[in-house]
Amino acid sequence: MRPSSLLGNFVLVIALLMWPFSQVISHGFRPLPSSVQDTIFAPDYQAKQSILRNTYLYPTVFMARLFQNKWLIPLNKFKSNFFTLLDPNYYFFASHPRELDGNQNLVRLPFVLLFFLLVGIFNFSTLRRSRLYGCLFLIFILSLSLLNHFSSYDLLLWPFFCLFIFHGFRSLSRQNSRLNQFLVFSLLLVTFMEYFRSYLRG
Amino acid sequence: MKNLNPLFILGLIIMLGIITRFYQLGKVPAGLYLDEAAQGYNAYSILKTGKDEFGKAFPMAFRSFNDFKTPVYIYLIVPLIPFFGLNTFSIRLPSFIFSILTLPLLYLLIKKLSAKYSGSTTIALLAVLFLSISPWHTLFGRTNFECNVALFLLLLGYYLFILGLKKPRWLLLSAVTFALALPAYHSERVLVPLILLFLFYNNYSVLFDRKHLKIVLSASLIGLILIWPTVRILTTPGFLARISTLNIFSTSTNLLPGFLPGLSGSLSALANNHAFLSLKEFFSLYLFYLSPRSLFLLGDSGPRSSFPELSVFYTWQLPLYLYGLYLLFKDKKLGELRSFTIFLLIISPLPAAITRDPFSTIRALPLVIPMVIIMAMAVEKFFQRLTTFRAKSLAFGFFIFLIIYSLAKLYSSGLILNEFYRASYWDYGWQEVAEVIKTLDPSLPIVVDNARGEPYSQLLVFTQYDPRRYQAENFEVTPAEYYTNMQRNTTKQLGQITTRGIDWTPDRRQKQYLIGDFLAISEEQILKNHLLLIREIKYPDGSTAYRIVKTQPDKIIR
Repeated sequence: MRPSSLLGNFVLVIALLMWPFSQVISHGFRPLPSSVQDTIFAPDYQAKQSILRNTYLYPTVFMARLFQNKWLIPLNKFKSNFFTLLDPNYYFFASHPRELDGNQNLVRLPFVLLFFLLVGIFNFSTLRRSRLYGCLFLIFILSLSLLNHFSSYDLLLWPFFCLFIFHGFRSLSRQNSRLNQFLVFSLLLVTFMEYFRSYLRG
Repeated sequence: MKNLNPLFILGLIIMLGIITRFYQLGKVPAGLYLDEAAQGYNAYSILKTGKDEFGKAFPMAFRSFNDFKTPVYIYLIVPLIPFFGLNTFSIRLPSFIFSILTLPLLYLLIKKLSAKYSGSTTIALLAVLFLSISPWHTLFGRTNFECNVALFLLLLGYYLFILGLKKPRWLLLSAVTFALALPAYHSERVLVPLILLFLFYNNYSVLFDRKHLKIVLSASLIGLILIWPTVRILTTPGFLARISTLNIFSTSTNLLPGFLPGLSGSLSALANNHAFLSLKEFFSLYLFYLSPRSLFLLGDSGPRSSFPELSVFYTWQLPLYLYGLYLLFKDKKLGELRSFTIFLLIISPLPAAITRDPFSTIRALPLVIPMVIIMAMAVEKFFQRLTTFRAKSLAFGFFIFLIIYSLAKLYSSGLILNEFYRASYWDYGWQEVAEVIKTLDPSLPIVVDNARGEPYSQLLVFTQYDPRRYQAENFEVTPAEYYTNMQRNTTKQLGQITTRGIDWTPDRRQKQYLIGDFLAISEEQILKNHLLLIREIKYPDGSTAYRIVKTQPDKIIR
């Protein structure tokens, strides 16, 4: 392996370790969810009250009540969780600019890794067993979306991100080594800044 | 006869677009927001006097609330007032017209750009269908937002340019259209130059051949002449007013997200590095415009630039977006449509991403075009993959069901929920206040509280106040200092009406009418100051919007 590739891989590893590192520091090791209370199907008094407050503001109109009623609470929660897990800002920018209520909003990965991730997804079909990984990734996301505190368990997605990012790194280094070197250098700077800032934040 | 079929379908889709935008136009959203009213009244003032509310003749940016509104939309309202009067309907009508005109224009543009692709008609029709029912485009087609008109001009300029590659004379019209698009909205100041660079770069061999060169030079000259009035005021504080207040790169470091307080010296300089924080902020805002979470779930957080409980696209369109994106980058058969879509996808969020607001649908409206094209591509490819008649029929039936569901959701959020949840944000109530003012004693002064708004613009519209008289009563700056003097007088005079803050100590001792919201004139104030309640204007949800009271100085014990 060339020295530049070795350095690139090393920087990538350090950058990718940010996610488990920050997760463990913030959440520790949470026990796995074991009951309905940990899921979106748990009774939610506040959500029901919120629906009632909103529907009280207008007369009973079927077309409005069809889309705004208590039965849709679990579906709305599922949608919210699902789209959050699909949001790249959730991983690279701590959900900024629309941070999540009641969430620590951690920076999981330095944002420069996004370029490698996109290249990895673009070249996804060249990955061995790509369909299997794709299906597993989707299953994990759907499963996490069923949980109330999915952010405590989203580390399950980390191996997939590592896979796509390394695949993107390898593809980019073959296609455009200059751009790759520039991105690795930028990644080094940004990773250092993020670790440094995390340390100062305490 | 064969060719009628796609046009017939296009006609149906345009009808659908007309229904979603024209139904209760001017009444829904209820109310007239102050920016809308200001644009409407300035158009009225131009019509009657040739000058804006401050006495400036035909300005290139309208001073208004020192926000220097873009001029194109205001000038478009002017010819409508003699026919429809000065009211909410006529003020929002240009938005509706250009929103509808965008539909066939998009169809023609897609057909032109993908002429060699066999599925171009299908993609074009699907894209127009998605645009006609899109909450994003529908909202701006029902309300006074300049971005809608600017989008139309941008697309028209592009389309005429493409036509001009075969018939050079169209380039002249393209130059005029782009020159109109540039001052039409703030985002177009960034997008128009980028699009022109893109077009020139992709077509320079055609543009600089003998057939085209003369016309290209003439078109460029015409374009420059037309944008010269805008360029002249380019560096004035007025022209730069919006961008200087919202630009993230000029924000001071301690206001940037991610700033760590409590640090000093070199530690702060390193950890709170301005370049790092502002670049990170820019990337996060930019990426958010392409994130499924904002496009299909959250939408715009602004109460006037979104419908309640509805994002800019429907949830079911998510798989179309993801699949369409994949096709966009993988499938090279679409030719120019592909490069157009990718380019517009990349540049559309740029003007919005350099401002602080997260996911501003107004500033990023051009993004709706590549989005509907991407989703249309996904549907077209999906149907191509279905081989049996039964599978296609089932898929088509399900697709129609989704369209009907979307229309129901749009109706629910846009026409029902919006009225009850967002009436206060649309400044509902001032038309009713103006109706009451007509019945009040004309010999008594009226004070309208402006602590939480600028009601003078709505009152000017709803009282159809004489612009000449208003200009005479409210001097602010000389025409020479129009774009440079940023001083602003918040007290306005409309005959017997004065808009200013209510000062209870002197005001309760003078016989007059006071008008204000429920905070300015609370029930406690009414009791304490012995006020006589004349009328209470309520929002659709039953809460109090404004109160009109009369002072009773003789009842106050001195």
